[in-house]
Amino acid sequence: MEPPRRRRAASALALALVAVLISTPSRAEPDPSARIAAQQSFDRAELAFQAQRFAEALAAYREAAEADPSARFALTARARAADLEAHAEGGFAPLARLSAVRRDPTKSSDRAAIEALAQDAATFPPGRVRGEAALVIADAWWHRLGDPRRAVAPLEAAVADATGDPLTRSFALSELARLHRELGDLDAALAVVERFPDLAPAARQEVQTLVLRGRLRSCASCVLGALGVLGLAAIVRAAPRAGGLRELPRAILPPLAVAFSLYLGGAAAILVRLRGDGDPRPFVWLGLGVLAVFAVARAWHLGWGAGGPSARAARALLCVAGVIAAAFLAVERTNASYLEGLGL
Amino acid sequence: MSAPRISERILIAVVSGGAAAILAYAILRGVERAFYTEPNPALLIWSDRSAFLWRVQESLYAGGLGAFGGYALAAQRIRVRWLGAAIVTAVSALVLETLIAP
Repeated sequence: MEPPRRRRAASALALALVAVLISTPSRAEPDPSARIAAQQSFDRAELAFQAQRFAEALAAYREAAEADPSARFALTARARAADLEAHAEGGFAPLARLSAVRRDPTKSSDRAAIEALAQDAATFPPGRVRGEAALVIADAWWHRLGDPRRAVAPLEAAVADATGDPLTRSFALSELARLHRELGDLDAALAVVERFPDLAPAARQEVQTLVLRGRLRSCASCVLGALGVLGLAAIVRAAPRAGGLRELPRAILPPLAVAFSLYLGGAAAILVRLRGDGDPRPFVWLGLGVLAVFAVARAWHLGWGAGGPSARAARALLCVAGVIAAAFLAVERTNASYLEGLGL
Repeated sequence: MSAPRISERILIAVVSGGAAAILAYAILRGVERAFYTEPNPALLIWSDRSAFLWRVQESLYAGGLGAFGGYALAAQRIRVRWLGAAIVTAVSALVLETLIAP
């Protein structure tokens, strides 16, 4: 291509680009009367919704969305119409009854109003409102009226209601599991999440983890309890051999063991502090736990002698179990979030 | 075999502490590379923690534990062949870590 032709082609391309940039998109403008009618319908729908005339609001939202589908409020109108349609059971009477309590902070915290709503909710037809009413009732009993045990029944009803919204049921199940945990009944929490395994998988996993932690805590406590009893018996036997009770601490807690335990707990605590966002308490307790296990092992050795290979192996195994138990309890009782990294 | 003197025990403790620290560093780095992917340092604008320094601190802590172990083991009337094996293991682990997961 010759230079003048190349320049002409470049000029034509530039002109075309400028034309594209300054041109406005050809978009069909909506009919102004349709836009005004849609706006009026939307305003009427909002007023009807506020006044709890839900059937009228539903019709007006539909009108607004159909009159001008491109209006900025059309998306809101469609969403509200869909939501109202999903709550239309019983000719909106259940929804109106629920809204009367839900929108009024005084009624939401009034024992008589909640009891009356609970009575009415029992007669609601199947649908979404029944489950939502149960959630409102449960929330009132649990948080505002300070009677969490009365929240169990409505939450169970919301979970068991197969006609309810799946999200509402899932939330109700999570709340029910949390409530049982708060009431100290982990078995009930496990039972309810196992009854509906697919409804709230995260809550189920959390409760299962807590149950596992509880079992491990019991095992660890048993191991440490057995070591404690053994240690006391060993101390009684070892005291005369060590030269009396006064000499016993020196015999069962040599300086090297004390230094090791201090280092184990203290240095780790300092490291955690240096990191800035950690909790040093588990490490301090771990150091003390290891020192206690060491004291038991020494007292055992002093009280009953070294023994044969099998006795030494048994003592070593029990002490290892004791250290693991002390480590678990040190973490679980102070900052259990460290256990999450281990899947516990 | 006679019991080692205190100075010998301290020396054994220092060497075993070093071996434990080196081994701990190699293990930490290997685990980190295998299970925890760290962000690309070139993409980070600023970080208040250096992963390397943190690994070094943890390794030194483990080395301290190893030193206590070495001191206790040195009291036993056994030949300290285990110390040679520990040094060889630690150095091998560090070389492997450097070659496989630098």
